[in-house]
Amino acid sequence: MEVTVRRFPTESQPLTNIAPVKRGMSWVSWALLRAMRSISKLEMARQLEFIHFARWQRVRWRDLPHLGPAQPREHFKNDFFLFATNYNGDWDQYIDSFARVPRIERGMWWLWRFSRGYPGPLPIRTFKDWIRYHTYAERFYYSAYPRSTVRNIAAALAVKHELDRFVDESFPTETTAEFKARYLRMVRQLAPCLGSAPGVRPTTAPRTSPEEPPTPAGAVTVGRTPAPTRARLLGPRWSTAPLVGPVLGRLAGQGHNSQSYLTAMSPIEVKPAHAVTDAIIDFIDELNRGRGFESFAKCPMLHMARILIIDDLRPALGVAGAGSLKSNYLLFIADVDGSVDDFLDALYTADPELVDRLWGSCLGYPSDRGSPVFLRRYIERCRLRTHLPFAAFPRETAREVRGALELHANLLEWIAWVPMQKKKMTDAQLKSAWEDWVNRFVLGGAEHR
Amino acid sequence: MSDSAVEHFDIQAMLRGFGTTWPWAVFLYGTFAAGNPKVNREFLRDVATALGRGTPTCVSELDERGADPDFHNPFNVAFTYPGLSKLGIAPDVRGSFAPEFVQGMRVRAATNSDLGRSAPECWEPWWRDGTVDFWIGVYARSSDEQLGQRETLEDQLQSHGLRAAGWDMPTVCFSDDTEVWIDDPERQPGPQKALEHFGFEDGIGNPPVKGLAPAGPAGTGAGGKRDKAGQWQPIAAGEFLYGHLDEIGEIPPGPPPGIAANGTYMVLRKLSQDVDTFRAYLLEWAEHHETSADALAEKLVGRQRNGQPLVADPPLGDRNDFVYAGDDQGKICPLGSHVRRANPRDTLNFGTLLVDRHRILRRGIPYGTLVPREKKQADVNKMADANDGGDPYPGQGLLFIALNIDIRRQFEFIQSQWVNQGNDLNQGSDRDPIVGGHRPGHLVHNRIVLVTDAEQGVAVCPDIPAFVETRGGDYFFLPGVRAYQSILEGHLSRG
Repeated sequence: MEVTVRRFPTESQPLTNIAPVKRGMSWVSWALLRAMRSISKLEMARQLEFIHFARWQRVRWRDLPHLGPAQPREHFKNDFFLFATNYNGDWDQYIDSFARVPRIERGMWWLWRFSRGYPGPLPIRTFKDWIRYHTYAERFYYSAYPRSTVRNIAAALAVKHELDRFVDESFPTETTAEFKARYLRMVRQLAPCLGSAPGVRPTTAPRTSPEEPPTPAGAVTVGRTPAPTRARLLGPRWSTAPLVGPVLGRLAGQGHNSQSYLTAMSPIEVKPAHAVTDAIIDFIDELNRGRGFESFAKCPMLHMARILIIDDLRPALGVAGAGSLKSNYLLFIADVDGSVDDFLDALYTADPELVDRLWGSCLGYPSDRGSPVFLRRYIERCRLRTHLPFAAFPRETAREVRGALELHANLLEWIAWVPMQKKKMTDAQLKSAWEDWVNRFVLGGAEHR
Repeated sequence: MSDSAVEHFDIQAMLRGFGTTWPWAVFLYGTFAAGNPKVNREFLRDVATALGRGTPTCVSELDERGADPDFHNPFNVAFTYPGLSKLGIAPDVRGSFAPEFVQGMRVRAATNSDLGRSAPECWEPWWRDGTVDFWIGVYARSSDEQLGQRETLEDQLQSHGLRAAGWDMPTVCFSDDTEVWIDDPERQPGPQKALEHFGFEDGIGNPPVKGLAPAGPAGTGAGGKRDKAGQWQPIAAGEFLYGHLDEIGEIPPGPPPGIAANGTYMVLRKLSQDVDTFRAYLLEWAEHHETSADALAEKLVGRQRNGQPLVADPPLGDRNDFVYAGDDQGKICPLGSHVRRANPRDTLNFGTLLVDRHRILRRGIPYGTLVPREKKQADVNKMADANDGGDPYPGQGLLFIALNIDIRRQFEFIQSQWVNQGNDLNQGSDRDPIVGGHRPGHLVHNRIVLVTDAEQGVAVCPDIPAFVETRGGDYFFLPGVRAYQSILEGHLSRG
């Protein structure tokens, strides 16, 4: 069985891999993940600079939710190892780099060595076959910043950081010469981050005249440190470890966020029935046609989400007959700021019908839906524990990332525009045009906040 | 390093490259007879005989006899997927070729950013309509020889009732008589340099291949991959030839050895170059940035006009013996420049490990006449028209040829991830300033940000027009010599 790697219309692409763990090795695999979590900063993943979020989870078969007498208990001879990630660029390049780079190869070998049938990263053909075999197709994938890569975000955050500092350092009696020196210093600092940025919104139309300064297309707050997010952490969690060797050496000291990782596996119906599953699949198609993106976008704390239908868990490659699920499952995976509960509340408030149509017909879904709390309780019962999470930017909220991306795109237009005016613009004009631009940007932001 | 594993007598000479010893060529793009593989195979046999040769020229023949004045008409042959069908190759064998090759370059247009004016609908008719079944490239030492070769090929086509879908008559352009600098005469490349039409020496950055070629002038393997000790090593033959170990120590999967051994895929793209626009743009933006147009051109390309790298003055005279360490921000050689994108060397993390699997052998040859600095393309092309009196003059451009074993992992990867996307090199969504195409969902206008030591810190060159456009091309299979003979003898055909 082979899964066709589907391309979603986003810069990042998801990969969800569930492989059986060797019998008797489940606890070793769990201990390894726990150990890696405390000793490793996963610097290797960071250096690759094309993974937004990743997670490794040991899933015991008895952890699979059992939500009532109508649902037969699952029973497997193996536990499972779940690896959910996303990447920018090309699937083959991503997998190639696992095998090509010795340090990553060693990491992968440790992570998967307790998986049954894991052939090792070389030969890469069998490694790719193994990954494909244990990969499950995502039916829906959402990103809060669909046009951006990890490197785009790193550049945008660096730009925001510099601009914050620039605005903070301005003072009323600053002369035009002082201003210009400071401005040029900032531009020099930002020089490596100025490749065209996709921003968050559709790109604005090119200007018609080079004399006309670029108009800000969006609005974010600059020059103010956002208040720390008060995260209520319940259930499985990961408190952000301090960044050692921050990405591109530019991100130290930013953000105060904590992220949570949700993996919920909800039983849909007992096999061989398939009607409810089919209905959910139809609804997911509807989500793909636009509705899902609108609703999820209303949850400002959501970074990325994916939905899969799991109707069986594949046994080890070459092992017949083992590991058949008794029910079909809906696997929902999300990376959120703050607590999962806050996200669920926001999702239910944004689109209760979506929640009902996605989970409403699943086994064990509560009939009493008087308050949004029911959703928290239900998802908590379906939840699987994340043992080893990775985030490229663990301290930044989705809102901050989006804001930085928008700021980056706008500032680029400005910085590209100024040298074109070099011959015509005095220092005083530069200062005044800058102030005008910043004011419009910040004031524009006020309207949106 | 041993050369014995790679059988030079079985590999078509394109793998070595005909170089500047054979500066003229005839490219015949032909259509086979449908449903008559026998006639098609006879035609190929008779073409070889008419050219005074038995089989396509192999590497060892070119190496040993290339300098012999009595050695004439070296030629190579490659087939598209429909071409293999019309030669009667059994469906099971055909079906084992890579899907990208089976689809052909027209179908892969979006991947390669062949969009807008570079889209297949705008290509030359034979590429647009997909009527090309085979390519025969015959190389010559003089233009007279070249014309004679074309006559021979035309006669053979006629006598077998076949037709040419199209022709190209490419020629290496030498720097000798033509001034190609824009505003700085110091930048004129030296004499006897093989130039492309923007006035840069071309074909320098090819990787040395293990077992195929001497590894750099001083045996350094420069331009290949870096080992753990930071030394250059040649790239494994399996990246360019079927039947050999590749960079990861595997034999790449592919068709059965009977047809695949020592063969490879040949990407042929006809790229037109807009020399007038290129020069005008550089003049305009050089003035803005208070530099010379030639200096700016070298920044966009990433090498000097004479082929020297910007980052170093390499010892041993090997212009491939350099890395980008120490120029992380691209202040000397911009991160977004053409050569740094096409082969980032050690720019990405982990040495060259993330680059080694994405290398190609380039064997292109220009077409058209160099445009002297004070002339416009139209002036040159009118003159050429008057002299030729034959085919309409083709303009200026390059017949880009890339050889690789996995089109998707090598040529298409470079094209889609490095040339038409800036992410891996921290260039956002900016594209290659020289050969970048359009990319769906992104700005039509391209730009490059040059990081400088000047007070301003950056020099932005915005709204870069398309200097290069695709006029056609396809994916070909270039078989090994023995496999070619098997094809002609019908061993790989049904019945």
